[in-house]
Amino acid sequence: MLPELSREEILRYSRHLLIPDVGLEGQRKLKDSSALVIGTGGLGSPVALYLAAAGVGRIGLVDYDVVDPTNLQRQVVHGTSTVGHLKVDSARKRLLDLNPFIQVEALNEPFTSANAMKVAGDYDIIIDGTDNFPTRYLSNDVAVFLGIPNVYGSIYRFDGQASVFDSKRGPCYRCLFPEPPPPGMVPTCAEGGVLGVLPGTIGTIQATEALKMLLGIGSSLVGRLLLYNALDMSFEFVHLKKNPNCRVCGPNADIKELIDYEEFCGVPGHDVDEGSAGASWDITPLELTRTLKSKNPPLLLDVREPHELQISSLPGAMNIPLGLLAARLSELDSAREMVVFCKSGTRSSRALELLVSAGFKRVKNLKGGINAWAKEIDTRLPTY
Amino acid sequence: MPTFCVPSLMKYYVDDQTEVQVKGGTIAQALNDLTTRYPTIKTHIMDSQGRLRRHVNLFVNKENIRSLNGVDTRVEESDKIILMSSISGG
Repeated sequence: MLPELSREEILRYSRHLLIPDVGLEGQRKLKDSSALVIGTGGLGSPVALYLAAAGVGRIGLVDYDVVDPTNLQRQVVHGTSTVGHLKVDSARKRLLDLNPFIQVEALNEPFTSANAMKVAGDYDIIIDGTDNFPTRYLSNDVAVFLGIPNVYGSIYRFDGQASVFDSKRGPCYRCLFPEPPPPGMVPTCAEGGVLGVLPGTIGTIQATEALKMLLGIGSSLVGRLLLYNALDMSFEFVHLKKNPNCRVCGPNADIKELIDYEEFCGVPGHDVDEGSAGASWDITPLELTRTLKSKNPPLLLDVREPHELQISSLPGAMNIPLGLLAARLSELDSAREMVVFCKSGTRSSRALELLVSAGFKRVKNLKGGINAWAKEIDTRLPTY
Repeated sequence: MPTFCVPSLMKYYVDDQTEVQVKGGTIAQALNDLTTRYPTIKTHIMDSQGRLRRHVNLFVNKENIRSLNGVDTRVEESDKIILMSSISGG
């Protein structure tokens, strides 16, 4: 029995009720439905806002992070007044202000193998608004095991992808991407940037797909992948098929329970001392100031993209972007001490690994990158 | 000539182009032409054994080559080969 709508709800959802494909019954279906939004960042923001506006009866939010100023360029569910607040609390408050007729359940912890089945088991649909590979594979596998759809979206710079992975009717995420990229090969938005409005586009598409699934109307993106490019405003749709050898949703699936996704992907699923290459390989900004004053100062190797040097730079540093480092190793003297840095230490940690595996031994990683240097040593430099 | 459509993630390795015309009648030949002319993209598409990385997909006429003939899939002069990689941003 679908829940009734109050007179206030009928007024609020008037524009939905006027659409024959939705109507009173459709709106009651939305009130009766539930969606779990994993991540309340760039994608999670528009998804959660539009699902709340549409009257999805119960929305779950999962995020462990706090609102940061760098979020506000794109994470439009948050605001300057909630910087420093838990993201799930910030988002919950905003959603309930938008629509007090819904329930919003906020879970302030990482979505992991330990809690995922229990958390997601209570919802009709999962929306993947995550920002890392381990949690994407986890979200997929949970959706497959629970037999519920996983509305997928992902972004980088100007590119967006969207689909609906519903293993009862079509492929899952692993059918398309059986394995994650090698650690560090595909940068995060924190490393490579993203056009702020891009998650708005993709997240709104995810919300659209979720509403269509919950209403049971239209043709979904099951079996199709949208490839969107904001620079040339192109929308390409490609066909996706179930992989007969899929390890999770295939007929001979051998993965039947959640695994260690961080181990599978080789990267953490949430921030774990980002910017560190490990104690024995790190050098702090303060330690570096001392080393630079020594008789044989180290070479400073900046592995950021050239355009980032306009924001901040260290005098005398040599710039070889991480993506080109392997091809330009011959330009470096392995006998000379070297300190590698980037924005926050993540890319430089990978650069250090590459250098060490190529035989460079006298290498250190500037922990926290040039941002840490700007905060602790030279406050004239901006952080970004 | 067939054309590779290159995502934002990789256009850096092909002189910032989003479309690169290549020579070749199969995906393998097209990839060989692309990676010969732009060697730094190779490791982002193929592993050390020369196989297409498993987080990378190529689509010709909307179909994944993995469900066609793999790298032996034929491409016509006017074909667009969509090169796409998994991305994790959210």
